[in-house]
Amino acid sequence: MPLRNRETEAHKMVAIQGETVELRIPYDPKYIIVARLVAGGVGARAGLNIDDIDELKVAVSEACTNAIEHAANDTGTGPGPAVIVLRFTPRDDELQVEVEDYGAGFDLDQIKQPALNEPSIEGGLGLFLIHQLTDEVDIQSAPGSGTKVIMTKRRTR
Amino acid sequence: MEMTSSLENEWLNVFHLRGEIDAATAPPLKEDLERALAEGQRWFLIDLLGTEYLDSVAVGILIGGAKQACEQGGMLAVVCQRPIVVKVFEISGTKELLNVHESEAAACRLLEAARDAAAESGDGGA
Repeated sequence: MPLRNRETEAHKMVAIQGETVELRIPYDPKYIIVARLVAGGVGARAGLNIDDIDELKVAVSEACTNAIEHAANDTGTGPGPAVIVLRFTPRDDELQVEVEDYGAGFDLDQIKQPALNEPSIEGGLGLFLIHQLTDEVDIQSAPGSGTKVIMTKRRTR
Repeated sequence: MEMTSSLENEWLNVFHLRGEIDAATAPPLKEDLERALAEGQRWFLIDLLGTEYLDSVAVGILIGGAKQACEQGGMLAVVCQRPIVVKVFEISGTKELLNVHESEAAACRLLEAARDAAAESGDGGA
């Protein structure tokens, strides 16, 4: 049997579901790759296929890049701890990923319209990619109280 | 990410990028591209055949480079094949602006044709 098939079988055997895997990374771009690696690892064991995992990795990285840029820079380190918390929760047929920071936060009304309709390079391309590459996105934020991006990637068979 | 760059035939700047390009690894690409543009270089081939991952940070840098190259009378073209890399260019709507091709030969032909056209219109092309 080819190696790849054996790996898939192994992933099936250790499939994870229902519990949350949490990762905390500092406000530093060099840790984004760690978030990506965990997204890939959890995604594989949650039953996502290779293309879905690649898309999820981009979405997770974009959320971390945004958190580091805005939460950390807009008002120094922001009001809360200088960490990004990622929570990966595999369910029956989807993987939900939360990316939360405790930084400056922002007014949702100011970004929602322009950023989501079409890509623009001056801010918003990352958020646009998150929307395009995941099945559901919910953003919770307010000035001074951090930002939480909740994205869901469904399993395709 | 690993990056090497070279000047082919004294006019074409080729950047080969391998590995993963994100906010942590992208700064050298931005610096090298901006330095070459500031030196007056204007023809660029960005070889992403060895690139496994890239996101909006890299797309933003390449758009900045492409616009500047264009303003200087040149062109920037990208070669990539990995599905997620192609997809990021597709959904960000940047495939045309960045002249994204899956074949290096096609990208080179495009750049050569543009340079020939620039030379014919009396614009040196170097």
